[in-house]
Amino acid sequence: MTSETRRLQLFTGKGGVGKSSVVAASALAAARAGRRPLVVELGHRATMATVFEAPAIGHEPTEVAPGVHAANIDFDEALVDYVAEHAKVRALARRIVRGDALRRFFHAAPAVSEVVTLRMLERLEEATVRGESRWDPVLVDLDATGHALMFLSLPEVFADLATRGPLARLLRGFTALLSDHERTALNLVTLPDELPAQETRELHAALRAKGSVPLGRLFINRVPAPPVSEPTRARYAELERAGWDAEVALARRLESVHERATAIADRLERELELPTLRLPVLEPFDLHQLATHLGGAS
Amino acid sequence: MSVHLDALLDRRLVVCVGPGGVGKTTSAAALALRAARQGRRALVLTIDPARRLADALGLDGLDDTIRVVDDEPNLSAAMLDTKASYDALMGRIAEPDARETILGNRVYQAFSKTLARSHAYVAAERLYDVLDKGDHDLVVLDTPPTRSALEILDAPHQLARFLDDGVLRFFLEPDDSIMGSLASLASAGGRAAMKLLGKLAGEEVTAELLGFFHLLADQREGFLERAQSTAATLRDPATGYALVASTSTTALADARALASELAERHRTPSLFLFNRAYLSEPGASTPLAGASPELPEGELQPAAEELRVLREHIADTQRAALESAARFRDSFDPEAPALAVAESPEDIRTLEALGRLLDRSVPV
Repeated sequence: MTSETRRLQLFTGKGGVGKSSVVAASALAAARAGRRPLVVELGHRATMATVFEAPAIGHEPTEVAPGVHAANIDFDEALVDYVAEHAKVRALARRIVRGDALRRFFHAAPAVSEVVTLRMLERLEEATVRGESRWDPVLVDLDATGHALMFLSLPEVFADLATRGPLARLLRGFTALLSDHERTALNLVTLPDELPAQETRELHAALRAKGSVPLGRLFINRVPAPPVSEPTRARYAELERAGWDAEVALARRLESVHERATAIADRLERELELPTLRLPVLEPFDLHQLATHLGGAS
Repeated sequence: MSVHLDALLDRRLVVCVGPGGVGKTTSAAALALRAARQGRRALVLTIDPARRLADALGLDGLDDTIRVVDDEPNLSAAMLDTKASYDALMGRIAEPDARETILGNRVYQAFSKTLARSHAYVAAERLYDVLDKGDHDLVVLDTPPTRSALEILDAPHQLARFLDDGVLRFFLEPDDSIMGSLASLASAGGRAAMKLLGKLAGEEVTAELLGFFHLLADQREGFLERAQSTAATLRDPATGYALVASTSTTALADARALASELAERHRTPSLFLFNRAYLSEPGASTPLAGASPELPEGELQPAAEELRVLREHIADTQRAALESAARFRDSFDPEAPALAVAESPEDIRTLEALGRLLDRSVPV
């Protein structure tokens, strides 16, 4: 079974690698294949609204493109949901959470937002849409590389602290979900550039060390195409003699950019041994075109 | 160009904010190096630098000690490490016996591990420490590559609020000595909240949490003083904010969101820095222009035409990029200094390369 069919698709990668675009395009590709994708972004960011050119995305899933829904998990709302699970009455939960002292506490306290967010993801993964089908897949745009590791480390962080009780049960549930090779895939998004590649390598090593995390695919975004055709490359010496040395210098420089990027991508693909998808530089950027590239992926 | 940079570097503290993937950490290091070479004692506090940059700065990434950079006596660098900084903080503000108890508290341990928000507190804390010591004329602070970067501005305040009477008193009786007992709650609201927490998190966690609050309450004065001092420094008009971006659409959109959040906190960027904004003319630092020689006749023509189109395309693209950078700046403050920095033709793996980075730039 390939990782794409799993229902919880997590995406992580350094800021600026185009992770949100890859998430959005994957959702479009899933919708084209007749699935019911839900894109989830976390908290204060509002990237998806820009990527889909949709109005503001709220806590409740809304349709942002044909067949594609998106939600932005709002911490306070998620906290109300979480408390309401235990306090039964939602209005009461809201009052408790909105209370000044407790609210300040929840905003400053360790790991509350992570626990609440994971619980929300778990619920979305379980939820049925209009009482019939479930979201498939749930694509989660994680904040940055560190964020993914942090989620995955939560059970560990709390291992000594919460050995029984509701939190321990929750954490056991997260561990089960996050390590389930049939339900979950953690995808890595990166660029063919030194810094993002190195960070991806380190993240991959850290994830491997954790052992149980089911990795999905590696997306290498914006891999530049060769800038100059072969016949023209063969004529550089002649062109320089004809006074086109500045142009040749430029072409060589762009070629070295292309070669470097390709070398970094090759090395990463070789080292990580994950199913890898290289995505082209799209100028101008076109989400639907990117989805077409993703749709053909194996 | 140097006028813009030098006005910025004349300050005591420069905070670099910007979206991820635009070379913010490298910019922070290049700014500090520039100041150091002008004879100022400069410190760059970085977050997770690239291996090569770390090598260039002589950071081995093992701890967060401030080290003088080899061959650059005026430049110091340190990497922010969350756990180490917390432990050091506790060591500085807590009495020795309290310190052991704190370090042993499991909620504290969970808190000080790699949790997202912790970064802002740690950065604020380190900032207090280095500014208080006064060993440096200029501190350049790198921030995390997310929109939550501005949490650094909120962290001291938030921590102060958290430690302020309201929250702790809500949970604790000031002179209460029955640690970890649910019976030790001060107010009815606190009792209800603790009961709820017990239900949500389990009594084990709640008891440990209560212990943590007690420990914090004892250290409150020290925390508050430091938090308030850092908050005041970050609000001080003498503190500069460098908004680092690139000219890509997504980077500009993210930078815009950041700048708005800065504005909400009554701060405006003192400098806009657009990295990787252009390819320079071979042998020069100015952007590549579009004009190629006249096309040769004969069989060389198709090849020359391909290079002409390539050059024109790049020149057009980067002209548009520089224009969008100018529009971006104008939308905030047409008078604000802004620099476009050329794509570096070399890897930044030495101090020399880092020192040349900002020389290849043009005003926007």
